[in-house]
Amino acid sequence: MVRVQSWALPRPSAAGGEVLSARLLPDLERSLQQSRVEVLQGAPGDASPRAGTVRWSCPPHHHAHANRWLAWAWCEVSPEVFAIDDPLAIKSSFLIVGEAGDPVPANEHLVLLNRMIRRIPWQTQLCTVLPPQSA
Amino acid sequence: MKPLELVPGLGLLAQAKTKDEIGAAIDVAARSIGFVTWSTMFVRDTADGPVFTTIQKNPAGYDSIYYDPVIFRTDPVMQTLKTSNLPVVWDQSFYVSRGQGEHYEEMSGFGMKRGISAALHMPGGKHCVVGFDGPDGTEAMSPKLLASSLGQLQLVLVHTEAAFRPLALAQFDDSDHHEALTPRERECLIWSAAGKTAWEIGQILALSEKTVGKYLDQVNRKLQCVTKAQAVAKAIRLGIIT
Repeated sequence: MVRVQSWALPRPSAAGGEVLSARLLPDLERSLQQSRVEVLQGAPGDASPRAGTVRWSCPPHHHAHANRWLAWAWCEVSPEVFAIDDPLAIKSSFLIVGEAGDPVPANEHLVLLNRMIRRIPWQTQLCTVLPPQSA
Repeated sequence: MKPLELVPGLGLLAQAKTKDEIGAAIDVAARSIGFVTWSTMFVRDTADGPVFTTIQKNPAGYDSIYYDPVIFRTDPVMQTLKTSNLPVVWDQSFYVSRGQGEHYEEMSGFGMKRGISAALHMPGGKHCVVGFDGPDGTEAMSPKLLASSLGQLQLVLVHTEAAFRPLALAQFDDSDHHEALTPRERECLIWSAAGKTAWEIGQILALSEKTVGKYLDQVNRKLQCVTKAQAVAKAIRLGIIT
């Protein structure tokens, strides 16, 4: 007996906030706040520039973007000058989809995440939580 | 401010289809943060060594130095960028501390005294570099302004890579240069990549099986592929689908 089974690949679910329409990105940007900063500790006397990771997220009670977050590694290029360590390695809790609901291509996803980071004042915020580097 | 104009020139970069258009966009971006000359290169690692595709606005007379392979291999900015995605802020001390003071003197004679550069290193041995240079620039920048400039540079870099890649790859392999897929064609290809038959795709997208077949035939034609598997593999490689 031939058994035929068919199923549809489920489209990413909006539940849990793992899918985000590209048109809502500006709204998400406005809702993000710095929520975690990690600094990699070097050995005593290590003169390497400071580096670490930072996470920006929406509060859990946010009406539209609860718990969505972005995270990336940073490095202090020179005193109080911070840059993204790797623009290709930005983590996000969500998948950006286009109007039809399909995920945008990987390279476009990266471009959109980088644009978001450019718009938020993460370097200024980092300066407020990190102690000045001693000369 | 329109979102794409967060950095001047980004809107142009997003629509750039030719090297001239990419160059015009980068020029706008570089000037917006006080740099007058710039260069970008796309590098592909091959069995015969790296192959470079460049777009640049070098000072007059500088090209012979820029394209000198010996100087390129010893340039400390390029050597630093080869192994890092972190931007480089360079000036005289950067070169002197790395034993390349003479090279710096040569560059500064052309007005290239300071600059910022950054690179992206992608899977498959592909790399993209963007550098902004000038007679002054970083020296007068406060930390906040320099951080902002580096942020702009990195954003320009990400956009440049997206615009430059299809042009650069087309030089290596003519079949990488292809006609753009329509949204429907791309949608059919995505479901095809997920293992769906034309009938199943039709059910999902409310199309007839025949229509889906036509879309997939068009995809094969545009990507110059013979089979579905080949088209999927090529589309993933070109970043058309994930």
